Amino acid sequence: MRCAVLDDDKAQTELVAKLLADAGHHCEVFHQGRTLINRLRQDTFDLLIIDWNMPGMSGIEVLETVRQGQHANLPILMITSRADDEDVVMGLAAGADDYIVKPLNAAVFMARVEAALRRAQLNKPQRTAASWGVYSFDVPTETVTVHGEAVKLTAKEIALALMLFENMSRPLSRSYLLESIWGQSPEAETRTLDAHVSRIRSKLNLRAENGYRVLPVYSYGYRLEPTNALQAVERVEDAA
Amino acid sequence: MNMLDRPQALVPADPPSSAMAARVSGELSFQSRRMVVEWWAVLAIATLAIIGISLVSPPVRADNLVYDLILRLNPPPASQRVLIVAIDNRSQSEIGRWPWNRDVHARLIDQLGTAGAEAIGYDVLFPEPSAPTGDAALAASLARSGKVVLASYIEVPGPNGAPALRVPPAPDLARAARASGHVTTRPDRDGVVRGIDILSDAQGRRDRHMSESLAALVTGDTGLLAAAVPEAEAPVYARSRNLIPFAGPSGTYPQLSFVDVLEGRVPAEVIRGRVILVGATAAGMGDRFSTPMSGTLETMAGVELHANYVDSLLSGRMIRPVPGLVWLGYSLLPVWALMMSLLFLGPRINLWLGIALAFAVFFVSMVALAIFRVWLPPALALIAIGLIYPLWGWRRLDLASRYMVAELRELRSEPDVLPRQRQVLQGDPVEKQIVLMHEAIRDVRDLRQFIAQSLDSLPDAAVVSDLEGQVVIANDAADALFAARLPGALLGRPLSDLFRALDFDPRLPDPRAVELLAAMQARTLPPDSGYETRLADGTSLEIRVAFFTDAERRPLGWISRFADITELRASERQREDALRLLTHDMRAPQASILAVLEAEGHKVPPELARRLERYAHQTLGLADDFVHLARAESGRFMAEGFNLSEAVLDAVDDLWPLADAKRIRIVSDVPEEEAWVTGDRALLTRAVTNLIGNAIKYSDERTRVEARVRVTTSKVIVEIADEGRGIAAEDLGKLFEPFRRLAPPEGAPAAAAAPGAGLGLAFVKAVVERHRGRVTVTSEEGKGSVFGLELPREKSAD
Repeated sequence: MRCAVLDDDKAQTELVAKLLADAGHHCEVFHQGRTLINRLRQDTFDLLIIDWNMPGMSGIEVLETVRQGQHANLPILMITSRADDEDVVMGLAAGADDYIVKPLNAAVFMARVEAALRRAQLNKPQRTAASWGVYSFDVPTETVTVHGEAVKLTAKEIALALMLFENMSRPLSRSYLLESIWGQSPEAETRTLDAHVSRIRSKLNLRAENGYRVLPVYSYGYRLEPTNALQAVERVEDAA
Repeated sequence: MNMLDRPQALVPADPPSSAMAARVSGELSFQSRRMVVEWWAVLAIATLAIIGISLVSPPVRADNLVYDLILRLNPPPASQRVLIVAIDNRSQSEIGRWPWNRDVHARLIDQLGTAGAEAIGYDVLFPEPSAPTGDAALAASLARSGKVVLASYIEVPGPNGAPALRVPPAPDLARAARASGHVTTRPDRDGVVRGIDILSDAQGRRDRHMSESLAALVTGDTGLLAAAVPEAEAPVYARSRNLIPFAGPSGTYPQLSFVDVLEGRVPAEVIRGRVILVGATAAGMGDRFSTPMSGTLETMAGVELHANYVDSLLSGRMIRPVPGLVWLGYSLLPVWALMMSLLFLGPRINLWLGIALAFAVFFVSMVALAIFRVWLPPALALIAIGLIYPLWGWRRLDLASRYMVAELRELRSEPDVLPRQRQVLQGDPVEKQIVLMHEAIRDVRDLRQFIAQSLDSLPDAAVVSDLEGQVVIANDAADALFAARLPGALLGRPLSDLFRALDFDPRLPDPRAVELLAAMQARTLPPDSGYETRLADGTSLEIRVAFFTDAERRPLGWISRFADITELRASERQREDALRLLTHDMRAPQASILAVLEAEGHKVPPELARRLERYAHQTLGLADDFVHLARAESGRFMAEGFNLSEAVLDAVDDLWPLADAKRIRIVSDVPEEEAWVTGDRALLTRAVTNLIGNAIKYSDERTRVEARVRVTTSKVIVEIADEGRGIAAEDLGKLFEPFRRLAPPEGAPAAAAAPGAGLGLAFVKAVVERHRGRVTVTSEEGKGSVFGLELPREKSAD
């Protein structure tokens, strides 16, 4: 896959380039937004990784320019050193597929990159059965097997669970989830979605120790993330 | 600006309770009830007063004046049917001194009879018999004529205490005459004769007036001629008075000299067919009276009086006075009409109505007298109309004054806004009222001054305008703000000028100002509206507009506030800049260090790389914690309803890798019931994460951390329990202060202390307190600690 990385920080671009190269992707590095946009006029990339804060044209401006052009569907990851939830929502609202807060965690970063690239090759046939880790889905019988034990889910719950699993590591907005699963139904409310997420979380025991966790993206939506990506990292950061 | 150019009262921004408004209107209705009572009282008093006046002392003089005036204005024509044969000075000088021998009278009657007189009224008294020859001749003539009515006389009062003395003609003559009638004439109190007593009773006899008898003789009404029947011995001597419509002053009716008729010097055709009245006109003889027609000096002989009356009887135009009750009703009617109008109409209309009523009364009396020959005395009605105004005015004034005094007293007893010494109330009621009024006015003036000074002392520019948008009050700050932008005084200017002056360019009015002004004009503005704007000189203004109301909550005008928030905004920007520095500019280099270590870490010894990495993470954590704390204490705050159990599970999942690394088991225990709270989910999740993170940090490997959620009826409680080393009792109180960290365990090196700046628990406390909750901690050294969060529970939407 051809990836473009935009960041004014050399240390960051080097790390990203190394991680992508290790995963077998081709990577080009840009240090100025203008250069990247010019390049996009004549070249094609499969994925853009853009830093938010840059002198001159900011990452958000680059993102908006790209989205307004012919690359409306190009997967774009935002990298930011801002830790505020508001900034995250702003980036997602501006059209980014995902965001990653610096410092980069290699495993998390690669999981996100793969998720974004997977989305690029969408149009997967509708599956009737699938399995992730300890979870096996059987859509026609509305059953999910966890650790070999069958759990009964409602149609809406299984649709929601499948959507989260199929979009592993991707942030899904509330409105996207509501529209995909409930359509224009009047009961499609934020509360309904929260209640369903809460139910599949407890029914399927979607907890960190089972390998997957449901992450709320505040003011935006939800993301399902495999725990092993995090577990691989030695966390030195402390909460207090 | 210290002067208030208009006497406009300012109502405090907080309008008084509606209860007070209700009290005011209740008092007014009480007042109007009082007024109705007073109205009835005035009506009753006026009615009684009029009845009293009519009984005790009717305004006869005034009525007489009116009566005489009307009568003189419209005298009836004297008919030619009545002729007077006057015993005048010439007759006296030719015939001889009075009294004449009665055969002279006998001769006259014979002469008149021969000439063909229709009837003869003899206004000469023959009370006692005289020379028998004369008497016999007169009796014979009287009997021959058969058309003569003799005069009798009633003396009032009678001799020896008798109410009256009747002096009839001598019995022989009375028998011979066709009839007799009394000629007693009673002038009114002012000495003017206006009427005739139709009947007079005295000493048991009832006498018809001679003119009545004469008229009856002419009209042939024999029933009336029949001798009056004695009635009960009532002391009544006058009844059924008729008024005389005088045809003119003395001399209106033609007179013949007695001696001319007696000597046959008068042609018979002058006398034929006429009603003759014989009486004295000579100076010093007979009775003379003042009449409405005469001036002050001129008088009329009694015989002329009778001529007028006989003429009126014969032509059927005598005037009747109305019965007393009719007169009373006539006097009361305009009073009641006026009272009604006083109750319902305004004072101006009432004044004109009173004047119109007075004229109407006058006019009705005039028409009744001149056309219908009925005398309605108008004076009492006029007096009554004149009486009503002062009476009603007095009552109203009294009522108003009492109300005012009561209100002023109450106002005085209420606690005053401004501390002040009260004068002692003394003196008469008027003086007290003046003191009260003076104090109330002074209070209002002082209050106005106080308001003006208060407004001036405000740091913000404030402008009070009336409902039309005209500036009424502008404080010093407003003058200063607009001094450079608007030439001239602000007072009296339309508010739109002020808004326009704030625009960057007069051609580009601020649409928000336009919208605001339009809403103000349409009175659709919500109570506190406004916007924030930046002026061309960089000043940030916050504009707020609110209306103020009177006690009944009707809007009176607008208060506009232009607050200079330039400094506030600048400090906010500074704070934002500082936070941005921490969130980005300080984080970025740390992230770069970590990136370098990640990419090139193999080039340095692993131990060194690990240490570098830890320090970088520590700095990052410090920056994050600091920002989080700042945000938690004062930042923006999302409020949404959510299940706190979910947030606890999020936190547990978040820390699972950390716990797993230390082989610590996190047991989460959440209830089936939704633990619904309202607040910022991200902040609360981070708070719980901090507590669990602490628990892991201060616990040994292979222990347990429990995250429990409980709900009560009003609260949601989260408890994080660990099996760590616990906290000393003396440290518990200081736990939640910023920059406080627990001392390393005994004997351990300082570096072994858990890293972090100690902002985590301060953050927890700040977040929970912003959610109206509280933080608890219990701990036992060596056994472990329990940290708790208590948040108010919201009713779940389900």
